[in-house]
Amino acid sequence: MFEQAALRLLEGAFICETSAPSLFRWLNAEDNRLEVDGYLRKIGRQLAETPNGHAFYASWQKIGTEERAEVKRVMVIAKQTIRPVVQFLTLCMDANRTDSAPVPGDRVDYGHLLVAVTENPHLQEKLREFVSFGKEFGVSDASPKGMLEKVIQQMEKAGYLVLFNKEQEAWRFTGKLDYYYQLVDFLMENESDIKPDEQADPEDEGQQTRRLF
Amino acid sequence: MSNTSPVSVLLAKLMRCSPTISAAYYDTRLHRSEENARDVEMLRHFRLLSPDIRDAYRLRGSFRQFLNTALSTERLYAIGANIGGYFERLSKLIDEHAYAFHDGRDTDCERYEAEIREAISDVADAIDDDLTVLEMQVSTKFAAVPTIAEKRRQNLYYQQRTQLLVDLLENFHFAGFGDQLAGNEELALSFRALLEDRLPVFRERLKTVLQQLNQYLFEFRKIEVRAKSLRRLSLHLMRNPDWHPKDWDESASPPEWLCLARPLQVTLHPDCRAPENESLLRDIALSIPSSPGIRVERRPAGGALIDEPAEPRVVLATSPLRKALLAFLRDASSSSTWLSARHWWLAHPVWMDTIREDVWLLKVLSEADKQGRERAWKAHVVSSQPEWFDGNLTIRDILVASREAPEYQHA
Repeated sequence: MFEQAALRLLEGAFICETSAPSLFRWLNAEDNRLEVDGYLRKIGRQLAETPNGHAFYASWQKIGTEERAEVKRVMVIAKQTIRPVVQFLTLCMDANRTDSAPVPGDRVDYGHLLVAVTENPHLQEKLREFVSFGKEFGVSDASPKGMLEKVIQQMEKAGYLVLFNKEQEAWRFTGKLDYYYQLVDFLMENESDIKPDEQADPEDEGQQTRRLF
Repeated sequence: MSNTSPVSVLLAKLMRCSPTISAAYYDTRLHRSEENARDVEMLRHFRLLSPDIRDAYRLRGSFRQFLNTALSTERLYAIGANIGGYFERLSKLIDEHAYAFHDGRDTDCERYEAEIREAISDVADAIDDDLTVLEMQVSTKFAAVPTIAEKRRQNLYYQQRTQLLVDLLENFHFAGFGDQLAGNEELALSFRALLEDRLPVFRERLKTVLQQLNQYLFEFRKIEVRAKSLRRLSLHLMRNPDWHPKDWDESASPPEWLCLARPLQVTLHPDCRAPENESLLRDIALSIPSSPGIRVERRPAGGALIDEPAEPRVVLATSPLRKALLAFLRDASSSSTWLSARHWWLAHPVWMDTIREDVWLLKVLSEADKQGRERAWKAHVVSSQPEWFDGNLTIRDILVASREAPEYQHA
C-alpha cells in the first residue's frame, strides 16, 4: 500500500474515496499518513489534505526559486479551468434542479444530463458556451450529445470525474472537487472584483432564477 | 401444515390480482374498470383496499407499510414503527402472564406465552426495520429531495426520530423484562436471543446514524454556502467574459492550492548491479516456478499409421569441370611455384577430356574473380592488349600459386 500511495502521489494524483478507495482508507490511518509524509519530505514534498478531507495529494514543502516555475504553471491551469469547471458544476446543478453544489462522490448520469440539456434551451446554450473556453472543448459534432460527451471527457481528463459504471454511462465526482472548491473559496474571499451577494444585480439574479426553473 | 392453509389460499388469491395491487401501489390510487372490477372486489373483501375520493381506491395503510418494508421503498418523513407501543404491549402481556400463572390458569398462560414470543419478535423486527430505513436515508443523504432546505428539514426530522429510538432503548434496558421472564426458560431464551443480546448492536447502529445526521446538518450548511459561492462566481464570470484571477503565484507566500508538487513520471526498474539487491533478486529467481510445459516437443505431424517410404533425396553430382577446378586449386595451393592453368589442362587429359581449353580458362578466371573469400591461393592473369584500344583484353594464361608464394615475376 505504501508503495502504491507514494507513487500515485508523486505522479500528481489526488487519492480519494471515489478514485482509489483502498488507498484513501489506508491513508486515513494516522500512522500511514506519517509514513508517507516522512518519505515525501525527503524529496522536498509533503502530504496535503483537501479542506474537507476528501482527498490527499502531494504539495511542496516550501516554495523556493525552483518551485516558483511549478507554482506559475498551476496558476495558468487554474486560470484555464476556472470557467469550464464552474460552468460544468452549475450545469449539473441546473440539470438536477438542485440548489446544492456537487460534492465528491456525487453521481453524474450522462443519460440524465443529456435529457435535461435536450429539453431545456437554456442548458443547451450553457453547453454551447464550452466551445469558447478553449480548443480542447471543440467538437466536430455540434449536437448536444457530441458536446456533452466532449465536456464529460475533458472533466474526466482533468481528474474531476471518474467513470464508475460504463454500462449505465455514470460518473462520480472525485475528491479533487474539494481542492477546486478551495480555489473558489479563495477567489471569493480575495478577488475584490467579485461582488458579494448583497451587491449582485437583482435583475440578473431574477433572470437566473427564471432560467433555472 | 397442509398446502391449503388460509395463508397459502390468501397468498394465491393475491398472486392472481398482483397487477392491480402493483398499479395501486405505484400510482397511489386505483380506478375501478371492467378489467380490474373482480380484483377490486376481492381486495376490498380482504380489507386491503380503502375507498379514496372520486370513486377511486387506495391500498390500505398496513398493506402499503408491508410493501414499503419488503421493497425498502423510501418514503418522505417515514413515520417508522410504533416501537413505544410494542414495548407497552409486551409489558402488559408479561403482567397478564404473571397473573394467569399465579391463578393457575394454564391455558391462558400458554396463550400469553405465544403472544409474548410474538411481541418480542415484533419489537426486534420493528427496531431492525426502522434502522434499515434510517441507514438508507442517511447513506443517500436524503437523495429523494433536491433542495438543501428540504434536506435539512428531513435531516432534523430523522434526527429527532433517531434520538427518540435511542432514548427508548436506553429505558428498555432498565425495564427489567429479563428478570420478569426468568421463570420461563422458553420465553427467557426468546427475549435474550432476539432482543437483549442484540440491544448493544442496535444502540451502536443508532448512535452511528445520529452522529452522521449531526455531521450532515453541519455539511448542509457548508454546501449551502458553497452553492451560493459557486452561483456568485458563475454570475461574475458570465458578466465579465474577459475576467481572469490575479496572478496569485507572484505573492510572497502563495495560497495552499497553488503549492501542488510537480508530477513525476515514475517508472521502476531493478538495479541488478547493486550488491544489496542480490539476495532479493535471488529470492525472486527462486520463486519463479519451473515450467516444464514450456519445452517444445517436436513430434511428427499426425496422420495414418502407415509405414510410407521416405521422400527420395535428389543429390546433384559435382560437374567434371568443378571437380577439375578443385583438383587444380588444391595442387596450386600446395605448390610453392606459380602453376599455369593451361599447362595443367594439358597435363591432365583424364580430367579434361570433355572440357575445351577456353572453357577451362574461363572457369579458372571466374573463380579468380570471386572476391572477399578466404582462400589459400592467389592468381595472376597473363594477358595482352591489342595495338589499338578496343576495350578488350586477350587472356593468354592464368597462373595460380599458394598464398605464401612470392609475387609473380614477369619474364
